[in-house]
Amino acid sequence: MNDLDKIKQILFGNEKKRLDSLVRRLERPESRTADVADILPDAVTRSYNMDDRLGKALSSPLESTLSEAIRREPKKFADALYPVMGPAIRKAIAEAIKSTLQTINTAIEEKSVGNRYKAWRAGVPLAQYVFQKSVVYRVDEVYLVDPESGRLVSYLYHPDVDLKDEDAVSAMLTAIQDFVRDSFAHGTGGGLGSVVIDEYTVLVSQGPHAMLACVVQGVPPAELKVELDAANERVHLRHSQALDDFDGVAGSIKGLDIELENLLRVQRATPAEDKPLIGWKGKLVLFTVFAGFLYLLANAFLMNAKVEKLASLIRQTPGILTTEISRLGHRGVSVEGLQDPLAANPVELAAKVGIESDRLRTTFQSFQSLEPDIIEKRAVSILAPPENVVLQFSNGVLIAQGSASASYREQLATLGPMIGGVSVVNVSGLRLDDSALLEEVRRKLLPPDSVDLSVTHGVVVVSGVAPKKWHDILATTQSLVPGVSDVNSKALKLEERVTLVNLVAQLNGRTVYFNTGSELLPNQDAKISKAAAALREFERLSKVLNLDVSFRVVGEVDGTGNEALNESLMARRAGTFRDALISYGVSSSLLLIETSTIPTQDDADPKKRRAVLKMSSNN
Amino acid sequence: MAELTKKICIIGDFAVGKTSSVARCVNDVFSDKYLTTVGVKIDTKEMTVGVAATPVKLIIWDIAGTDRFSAVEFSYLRGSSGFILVVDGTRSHTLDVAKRLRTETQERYGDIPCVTLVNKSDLAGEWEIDDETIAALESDGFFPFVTSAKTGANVELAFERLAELVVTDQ
Repeated sequence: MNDLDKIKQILFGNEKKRLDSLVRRLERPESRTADVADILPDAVTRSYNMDDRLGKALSSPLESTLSEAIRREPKKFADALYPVMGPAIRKAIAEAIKSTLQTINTAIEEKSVGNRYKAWRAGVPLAQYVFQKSVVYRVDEVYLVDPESGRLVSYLYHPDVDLKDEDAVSAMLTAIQDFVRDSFAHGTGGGLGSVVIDEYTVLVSQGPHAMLACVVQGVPPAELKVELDAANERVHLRHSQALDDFDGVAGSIKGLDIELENLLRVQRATPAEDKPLIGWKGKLVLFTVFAGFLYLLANAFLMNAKVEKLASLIRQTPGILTTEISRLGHRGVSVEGLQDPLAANPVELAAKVGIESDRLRTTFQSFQSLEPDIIEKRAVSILAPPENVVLQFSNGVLIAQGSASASYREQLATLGPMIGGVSVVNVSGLRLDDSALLEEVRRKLLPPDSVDLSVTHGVVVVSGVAPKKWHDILATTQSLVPGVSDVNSKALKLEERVTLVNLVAQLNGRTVYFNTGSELLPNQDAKISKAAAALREFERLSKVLNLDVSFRVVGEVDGTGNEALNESLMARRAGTFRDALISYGVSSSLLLIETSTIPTQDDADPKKRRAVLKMSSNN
Repeated sequence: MAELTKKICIIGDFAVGKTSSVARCVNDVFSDKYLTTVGVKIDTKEMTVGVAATPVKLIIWDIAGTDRFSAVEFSYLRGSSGFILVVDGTRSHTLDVAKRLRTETQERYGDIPCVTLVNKSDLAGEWEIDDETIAALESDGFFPFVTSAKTGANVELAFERLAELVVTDQ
């Protein structure tokens, strides 16, 4: 050691040692590795938190390293990723399947000629056939196979399955897998996913240590394959080592069957719940079509019924003869034939049975019907009966009833037989109406001017004054004038009786005057002759009227003279007047002599020297 | 079902009588048509082996005749516990093919027990393989059996031997 070194030793002794130690440490890779290992995690974390430079720097080498590693040993990576990738892939596939399943099913349902044919052969609707085909399935067998030797690791089966040699089947399935893989997949590690033979489908799930296959009768749902894959993954996760160490004794791996039992199933879905073959829109369309069909059917049925009714109604309707009634399309009706102008309108008949006029086409030729109803209508149409006349037709006879004028009756009798179908007109039931009756009554009875006649409802009402002779004629009115139901003559007076009463009034109290004796005064004669004429008329009328009546002739005196003389004088004066009247032609039986009482007053009044006519009190 | 199963492959050249040899003594499950379509046909054979009479079920992969394995045929051999090599005793070159096939399988899948059927012993007049050759096979681990598919001679015996070999080998 020279001086310089000594000085260095004195000045930097401790630092030199530390420096040497550092140099040695840097020169030894182990120590550097340990240092880097110590700080690397923190450094990476810090760098990652600061910015993305580390990430960018590492990405390229990592990518190329991984790519190279996968390229060299793909199987190892595939095996390692198998439990992780399975669910992810399955999920993606399930989603894809879900979205396309409906389309595929619809396409199958609608386009498969085979399905249609089979459905036709089976006698079931296509939808039902496809439905049954698509949802009913049974898993008959489940094979868990050692993919290397093809030996069975586990085997489950449905009790109804006819057993074959499952070991041989397992081996053959493996052989076919190998064959397919090597022939078509060129050793990519893939293989058959499923095999479809008629109604059987074999679903296969490939795993590194086991191949899981199930034999399905019917059409398995897409989910079954997914479940199969899931089961295989569970088997791999839980029994990977046991599968690796498989000794060739099937069923020897404990707990394996439990993983697989769930796959062995019979699925019988109830219709329309899981997947209705027809959506609500389809149902709506079907319903509409069906309802429309029903409507048309019902319409056709109702229309037929209406046409039947119309035909029946027309047959019963006089004056219409149909040659053809037919349907026009599904809504209209055509009627052809002959129609009397007086018959009922076919359009109205159709309306009665519910056929609107716009659905009816009529083609009628006119003709004259000889049916009684139509003849009657024709008679009414031509003869235009007044309000009180009723015309009826029966057995060739037109019968008129009621009341009418004589001229109408005459018209009826003349025109009636000229109407088609009418051979005889019977007017015996047709009386004259009131005015015609009155006319007839006047014509037959020739009433005097003093009589008023009227007719009301066939009753002749008579008022006024008429002689007895006309009264007698009136009594025969009903026989003289047919149609008169009664005669009311309460207001008709006897002309004779009226005259008689007047005569009584005129004669009663008529007086003639005498001298003091029993001689008439000279100017009394005209008076007597007038009274006599009246009495004669009275007598005649009372005979006509068959009355027994008489007049009293009363003699009177003044107050002078003696009683005996006065008594005699009164009798004589009465006799003189009576005789005078008789001399003028009055019947003596009509006049009775009577004397008055003698006045008590002694006066000589000449006006009391008289005789007076007085009506008998018994009349 | 709870029995031991073992995969056995029958291999050999064309028309050596592989299928005929086993037909007499196996449970024939599938049609021979598989051989020409898929190139393999599976049969099974249940038997017991050893003094303990251990039940074993052989799953016999009858692989279509070939003088060289293709990729598919190799995949059929995978997981096999034993082989039955079949040779036509009247055509000596089929023995060469059998040897080559065994070598190929050994290269691919390791040393796996096998028995060899030298078939068509009923055609003694046309026989091309001498006893020395057969003895050599014995020493090379081919376990040869001179068989006749026609008479069934020794076939059962060969199966029993292979069954013992594969059960012991596990």
